[in-house]
Amino acid sequence: MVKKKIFKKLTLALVGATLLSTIAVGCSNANSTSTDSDKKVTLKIALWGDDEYKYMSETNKIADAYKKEHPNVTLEIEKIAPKEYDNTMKIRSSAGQLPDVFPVRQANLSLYADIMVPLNELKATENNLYAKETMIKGNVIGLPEAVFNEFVFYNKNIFQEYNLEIPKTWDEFIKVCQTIKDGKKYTPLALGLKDSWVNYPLNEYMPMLEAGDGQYYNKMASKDDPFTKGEPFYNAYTKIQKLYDAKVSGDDPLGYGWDQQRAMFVAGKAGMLAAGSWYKSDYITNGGKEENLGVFLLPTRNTTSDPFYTTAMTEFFWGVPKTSKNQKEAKEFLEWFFGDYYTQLATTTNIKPTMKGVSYNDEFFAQAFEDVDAEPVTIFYDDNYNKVMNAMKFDVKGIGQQMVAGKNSLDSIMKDLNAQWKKARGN
Amino acid sequence: MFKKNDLKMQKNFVLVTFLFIPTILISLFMIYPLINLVVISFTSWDGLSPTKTFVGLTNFKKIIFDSPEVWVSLKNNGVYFVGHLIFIPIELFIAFLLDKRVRFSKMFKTITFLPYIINTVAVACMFMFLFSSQDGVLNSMLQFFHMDKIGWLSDSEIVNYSLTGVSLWKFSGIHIILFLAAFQSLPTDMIEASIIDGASTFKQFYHIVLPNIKPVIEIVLFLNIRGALQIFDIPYVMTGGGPNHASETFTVQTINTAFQYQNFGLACAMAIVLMIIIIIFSIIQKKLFNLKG
Repeated sequence: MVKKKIFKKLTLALVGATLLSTIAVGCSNANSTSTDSDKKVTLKIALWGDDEYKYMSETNKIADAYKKEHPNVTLEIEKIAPKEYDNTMKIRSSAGQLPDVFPVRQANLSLYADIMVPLNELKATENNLYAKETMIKGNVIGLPEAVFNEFVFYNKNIFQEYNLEIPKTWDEFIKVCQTIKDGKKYTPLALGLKDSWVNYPLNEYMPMLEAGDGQYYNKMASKDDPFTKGEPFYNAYTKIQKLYDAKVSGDDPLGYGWDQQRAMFVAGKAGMLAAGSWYKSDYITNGGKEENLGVFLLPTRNTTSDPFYTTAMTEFFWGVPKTSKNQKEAKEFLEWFFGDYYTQLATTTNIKPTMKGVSYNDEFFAQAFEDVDAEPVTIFYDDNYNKVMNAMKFDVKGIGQQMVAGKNSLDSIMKDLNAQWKKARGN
Repeated sequence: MFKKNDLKMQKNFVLVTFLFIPTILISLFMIYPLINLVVISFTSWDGLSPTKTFVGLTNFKKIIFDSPEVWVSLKNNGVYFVGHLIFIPIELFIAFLLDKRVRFSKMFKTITFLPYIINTVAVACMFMFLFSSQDGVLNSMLQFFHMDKIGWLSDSEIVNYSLTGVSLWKFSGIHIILFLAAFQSLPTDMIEASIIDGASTFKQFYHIVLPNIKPVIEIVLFLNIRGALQIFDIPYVMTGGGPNHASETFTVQTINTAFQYQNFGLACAMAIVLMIIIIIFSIIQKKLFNLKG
């Protein structure tokens, strides 16, 4: 009997110990926010940008630079792969394990509205050129780090070979494409539509350029039929359809993707490629010759007397989550980050700055703005638009693929979109 | 008496210690997520906000009555299912041949099984280049024979068949190996007796081999249903569900609903619907398979 009791107790103790250790491990806070009696604080930072991470962890170590001014604060930086970043953050948010400071992608900004601390009162917010334009529910929840313009990169040799000039209107652009196509040597515009996202400068941004309004999609969210003939969306898509119908991206653009698109352009097999300013470093990394690379702004206007709109896309919205136990220190860090350190970061990594007083002298991209009176429109998607978009699974890039496939007329596509949009708004 | 109790206690002790960790693991990684999945499927959670609004059966109603794209994606899954189903007799036959009926059978067995052990993403990347419209191998071959190019991945009418071809290349090996294992577990005396009786190879296969490997065929059929309905990696990597959602499978659609369109509630409901469909199809298939007793 005694043995039985001992075994019973032993079993219970073993079960209890294992259970406790499991709970202890499960509940242990891996977050670094330890506030000891001497107020030592560890701020955890996560980001996805390669260039920023390299600068912050190697070129000008942010942890060391910050420690000099804030000896009690230790910074820990973690880089997450760009493709996994959004999902990783969502998973960490569910687990209450978000880092103390991290950038939010603009596309997800409204999703984070209730998660992030308002940064309205910060000096850095005052000095940020775009923060007030990108408020969610009346609050600045993230400070944009960079602004990107969209360009058409072109091969100078091919343009020289056909005596081509930089196009200033949409028709001129199609004509340039057509001339290269007629030469039967090169693909005029590399567009690997197997990866639908590559058409974003056209299918996503052109309606905003047509409307001359970076928040045009938000306005569409207040209408029942924004795809009707005569509306900016319809007009923009009519122009895009004209380009797709000219078949200037190879005989089957849906059959190749981004990897082949850039390989074609780097190898000099394609005349042009539409992408953001981020593409330049990609071109160099993949062995492209810089002296052969030219750039111009996508001319979407009808005539040279129309305004020349171009997109400005703000990105990397640095913010602090409400779950952070070191919100005060995290805000202080943001004030510091968007000061001198940011000026050095922006200059070294050659990003177009979002802060007042930080100069930007990129000769390469400056050539695109010569001879045109470009008017940038700042892109921003608000909560109302995101709700409609998610409800109807609105996918402009998929529509681009549909337009290239050519199995449905533009009118029927637009008619379907109107019906779906109205229904999504009603839900 | 004391010894009997002692043994019982020891038995209990061993049982508890051996079962405790697996039970905890199953509870943590299967039961708890499953319960969570069911709970979230009744909400309109966006995957991030702290609050989860209860919406009752709205998500399930939306899937069944108001999501034609979901049914289109299931149709795409059907192409994989039928493709693999048609291939099962061929796999059986190949396994039958490889069971010491051809020369160099060991080498062929290895070759057959190789695709299965290659990472699916690598397989998908490899086939992407084969199918590519720009310098793709298959189209280059067609052009060599003065034939028109085919939009393997760009034609919405063809893309699902191309992807099913990749899936067959990748997964047939495991089916063949399963059949082969079943053949090799058969007692040789039955086959020898039939040979003495003058049975042809076909008769041996149909009257002796097939009835004896029925459980394995059932497993392969179940794997086919599960695999076809859950196929994700091949279409996701090769086409991303395109062109314009033409190759979206149910799982690709579920992932996009959750992560691209921020509707975790609906995505969880879709996962439950998929689970139910797999169970229903498996039961129907089992019943049909056993009709003949």
